[in-house]
Amino acid sequence: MSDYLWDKSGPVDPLAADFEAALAPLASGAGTEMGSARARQQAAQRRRNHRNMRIAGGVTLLAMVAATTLLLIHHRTRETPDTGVRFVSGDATVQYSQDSHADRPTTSPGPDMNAHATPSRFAPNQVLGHQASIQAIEETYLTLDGLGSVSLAPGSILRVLAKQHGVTRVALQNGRLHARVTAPPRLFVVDTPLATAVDLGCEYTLTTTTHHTVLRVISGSVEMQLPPELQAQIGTHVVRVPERFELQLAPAARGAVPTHDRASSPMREAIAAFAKAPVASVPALVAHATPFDGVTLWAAVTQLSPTQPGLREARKALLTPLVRWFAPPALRSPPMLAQMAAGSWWPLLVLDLAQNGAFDVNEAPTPY
Amino acid sequence: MTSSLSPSDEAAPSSAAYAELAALVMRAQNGPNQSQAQSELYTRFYSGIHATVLAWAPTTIAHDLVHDVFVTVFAELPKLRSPQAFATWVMTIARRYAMSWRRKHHPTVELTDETGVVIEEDATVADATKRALAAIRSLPATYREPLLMRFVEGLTGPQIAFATGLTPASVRVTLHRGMMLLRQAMQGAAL
Repeated sequence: MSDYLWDKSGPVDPLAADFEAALAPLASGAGTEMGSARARQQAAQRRRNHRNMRIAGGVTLLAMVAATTLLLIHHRTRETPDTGVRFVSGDATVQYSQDSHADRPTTSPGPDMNAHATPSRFAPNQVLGHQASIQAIEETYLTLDGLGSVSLAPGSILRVLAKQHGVTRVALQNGRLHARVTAPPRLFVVDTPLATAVDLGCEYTLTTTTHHTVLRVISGSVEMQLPPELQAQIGTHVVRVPERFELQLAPAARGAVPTHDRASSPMREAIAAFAKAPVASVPALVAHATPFDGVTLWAAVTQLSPTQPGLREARKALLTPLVRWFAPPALRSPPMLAQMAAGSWWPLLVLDLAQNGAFDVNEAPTPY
Repeated sequence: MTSSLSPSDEAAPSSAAYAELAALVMRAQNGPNQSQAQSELYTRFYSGIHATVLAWAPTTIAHDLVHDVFVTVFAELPKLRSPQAFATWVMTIARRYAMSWRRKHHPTVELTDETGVVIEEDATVADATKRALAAIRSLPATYREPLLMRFVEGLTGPQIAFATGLTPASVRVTLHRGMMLLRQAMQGAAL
């Protein structure tokens, strides 16, 4: 893929070229005669290229618009109702809804099935169509074509949504789902009344009622995407949950951080308190955290906005043990900590990478 | 000084390139041909540090600050425990030097990463260059440094990633978002 800004390949971006020409005299090599000459030559060449590239760019743009339109038309016409979900064994009823807009499960209690069709029993190897609602009577096993498998606990209600762009999507209305996904990340998505679980290559259990959702990741990791109302309350749109961590979500949550399976009882209490009053529970989180709780502290940092000055001290308190455990030496100074508390992007990114790298081998975190 | 941060100009930096840099840093710490290795680091990182400094300080002082940075880098280098973190470490020092200079000379101006900076350039700098610098410096720090590396020093995205220790994907996103903000700031006006 050509990209002039990235690697100077492809059509010249006129504005980028203007900036290059204007700033070339400042280059550290420009003090020498060779540097200046080179800059002048480059600027002249770019001006010549501009004229030609603008014409070529216009033609290319038109061609790209036409090609994209054709691709979209083609894609729409070949989209099939195939969901990729197939019944394997167990006992469940299936009912088809006519309500094609009910893609996200509602928070109203009870099965989300309407009276347009009569429930019927599953048959082995039956392919489930778009908008099929399954109610498991016994433990029920489903396969996801080429992606992995899912089991539903008795009493669970699952709606199968249309497969689009290779993504298999289901909605867990109520009950417990256990997923084992072997496909590349982001190809299996589960909606719940409170959030959306996006598989990142993993095995996990998702339990949901209308009042809470619990995600427990056994291997790999899952991204929990929050709906706008929870985003506004919690201050983030996504919570990443790695293996051996559990995330609990409630409709009134003010914070949502994952809990490591080794977390102590006081740490679990602090995490529960964080969900209700994030800032007030920061001292308890810091006091009871061990390096295994690094992901928990990190998630808490991301949910306290650096743009609110009152939260900077809380961020700093959470970052202090993280920096001590995981940060490269260059990030360990007090001014650097202050910058991170204020939301400075790059040391936070380095810390994030260092911390997640340390937790790749979850059995033994490897601090710097 | 040439822009020779990465052995490869166009491709994403390979793990071999990072390993080679770590070996060079170890030689510069306390190995055979120590001064030669330090010269090599100086050559490779000069342009990246210069662009980082320009994000916070005027052009007239930038080269002096770069030299100050290198003095500190080579004095502190033996204490660096992770040679593979050299790029991140050296850019941190550069940024700290430039920000310290700015705080010292403009003590009443709040300095944050979220807001842009206003820096007066002297009369030796061409008007178009001043306008280009002002436009980039009006952006948050996240975008200033990679854009200056790209436009002042002519580094490619992979070279910027190598120089800063960031991932190529992160640099790519930053460059494109920064360019989008520049377009909005310029609103069709020429430099």
